[in-house]
Amino acid sequence: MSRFNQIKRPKGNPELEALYRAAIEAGMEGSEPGVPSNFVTSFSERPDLLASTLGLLKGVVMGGVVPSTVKEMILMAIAMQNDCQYCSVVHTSALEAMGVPTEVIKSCASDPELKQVPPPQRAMIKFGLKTARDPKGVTDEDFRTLRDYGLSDGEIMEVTMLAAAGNLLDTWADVSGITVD
Amino acid sequence: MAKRFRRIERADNNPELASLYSEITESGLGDKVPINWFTAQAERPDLLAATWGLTKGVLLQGHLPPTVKQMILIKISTHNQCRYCTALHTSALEAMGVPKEVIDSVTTDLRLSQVPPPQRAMLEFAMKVAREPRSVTDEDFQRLRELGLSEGETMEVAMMGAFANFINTWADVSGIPIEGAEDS
Repeated sequence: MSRFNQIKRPKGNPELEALYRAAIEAGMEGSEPGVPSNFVTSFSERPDLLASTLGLLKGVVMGGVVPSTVKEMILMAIAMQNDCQYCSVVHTSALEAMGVPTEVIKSCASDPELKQVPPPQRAMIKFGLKTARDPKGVTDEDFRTLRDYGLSDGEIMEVTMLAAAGNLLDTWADVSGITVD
Repeated sequence: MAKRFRRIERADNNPELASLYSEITESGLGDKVPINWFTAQAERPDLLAATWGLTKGVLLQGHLPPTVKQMILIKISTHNQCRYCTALHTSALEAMGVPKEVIDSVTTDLRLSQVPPPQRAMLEFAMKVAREPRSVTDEDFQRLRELGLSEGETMEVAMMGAFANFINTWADVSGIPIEGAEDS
């Protein structure tokens, strides 16, 4: 049950209407056609905070240069680490829709060794998990591991920001108490 | 610690970066050059644009008093042992004229005894959001409502808690030095 008022159809509120349209265009439609996901509607009372959060999602989650399957795997693994049910479901569905094999998705969700995930992606997921769990514990060796796989500084930066964003999104989903769409 | 990301101070040759830099310094987050938290993202102006947008929307704008927001960031940065963010936001709070005993109470006194009760409740709520979001209860929400906070204000406190973790994470993983004190 969401703790925040969720407006489904914001008639007469052009600011919120425009944000909802943008969210749906970005793929964040909920279970009801034409209405964005609960994550989005939980911001109804504060369109300004919704705009800031959507900006982060567009720039760090949907944009960027790291392949979107890897990004979804990182977000899914972090959602599991944080025990965030809403986000685990969202990112699992996204991976399924992208055609990622079930055994890889399962490995991301429940195998700490990530055995079914190819080594470069595995290294990125592990880096993301550590960043999200214990940022002070990230070492120069962790950076070197990613560089040895050919990642540029800019790509490592994207993995770091994505992990930080993963925590932020999980936190919002948990505190707002939104239900799975 | 090896230098992890190149900090670019001059953005003259990159119009996209230059325009972000001037927006950031105009907001006060930096003097001639943005603070290290931003310049360490210079390799990726697209990411910088996103994190700057978040900072502007969640920290610099909104409805809560700026002093309360800075107190929330200091409290959580101290808890996360993020030296960079603790130093930066302590300076910001000092510049706002908040008494030293209140600032000390935020950083070192778990009871926050020198912080007035309504602000104390907001700090405690944000702290719980940052530390363990799944444990936030309806009673925690009720407490803020009883102190007169609207739903929108409570949302902002919650977002500030999540934002504090976000900025701490980047400061810690990027390994940026504190301005002035240990700049290199």
